[in-house]
Amino acid sequence: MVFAVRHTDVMLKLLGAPHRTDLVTSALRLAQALLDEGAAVQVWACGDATALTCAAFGDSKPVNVAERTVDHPSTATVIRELLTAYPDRLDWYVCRFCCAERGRSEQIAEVLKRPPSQFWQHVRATGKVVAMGVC
Amino acid sequence: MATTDNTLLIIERAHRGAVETQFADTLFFVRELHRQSGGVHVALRGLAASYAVDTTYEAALRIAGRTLDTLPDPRRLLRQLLDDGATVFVEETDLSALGARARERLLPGVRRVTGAELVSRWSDYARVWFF
Repeated sequence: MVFAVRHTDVMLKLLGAPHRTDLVTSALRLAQALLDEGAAVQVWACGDATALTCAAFGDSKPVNVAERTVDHPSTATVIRELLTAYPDRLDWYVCRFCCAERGRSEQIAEVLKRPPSQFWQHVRATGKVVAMGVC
Repeated sequence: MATTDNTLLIIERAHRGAVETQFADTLFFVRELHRQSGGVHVALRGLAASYAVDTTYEAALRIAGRTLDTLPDPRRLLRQLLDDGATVFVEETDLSALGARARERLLPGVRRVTGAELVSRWSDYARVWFF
């Protein structure tokens, strides 16, 4: 079956790794701001950015032993909530190769794994590409 | 003053992820090391000097209808670390680089130190770790 990439206004090409800088937070804030403005957005996560949506994270981060009653949502939960809130205007893709290479093939159901050989389809299916970080 | 069994932790990389990190940032683990080891000294330099400068900014963001207000709060953790009895230094040059008023907003208990002075103290410590 041929996969047709849904056209978006902006693609966030998220290659930077989490836990290095505030890049991931900036990407999420930018996505939310674009969605607030009515734009359609797709995120293509490569490299260690594929870790953000690992199914193994569960809904929450491990318990904070200093504040056991405070819930800290995992990035998988935050991204799932974002996708659920904007089903018609947000798509989150993860690079299938990077997922396999880095042991992250088990992803949350809301994201789509795509082969890197099809990456240019996504570039063509968006008005602008914003490159965020490097692998 | 350092003792022969003390550890100096140098933190110079700061703001290493907010949404993905939340409570589990560098200072969280420093506080735990302080507890386990019986006492650490911490040196803030580079952008990490900003951890020692007080601010009214509240780290929170709105995403998908949720207000995510459990983001890293390094000043709160630094206050807790000081309350725990840790010694905290900040490098003068990096503090000054944050603005003319940064020194006035320095968290109480944090000691200003020059880079050269800090290096001269390395031999007082059993361990010097970049964190």
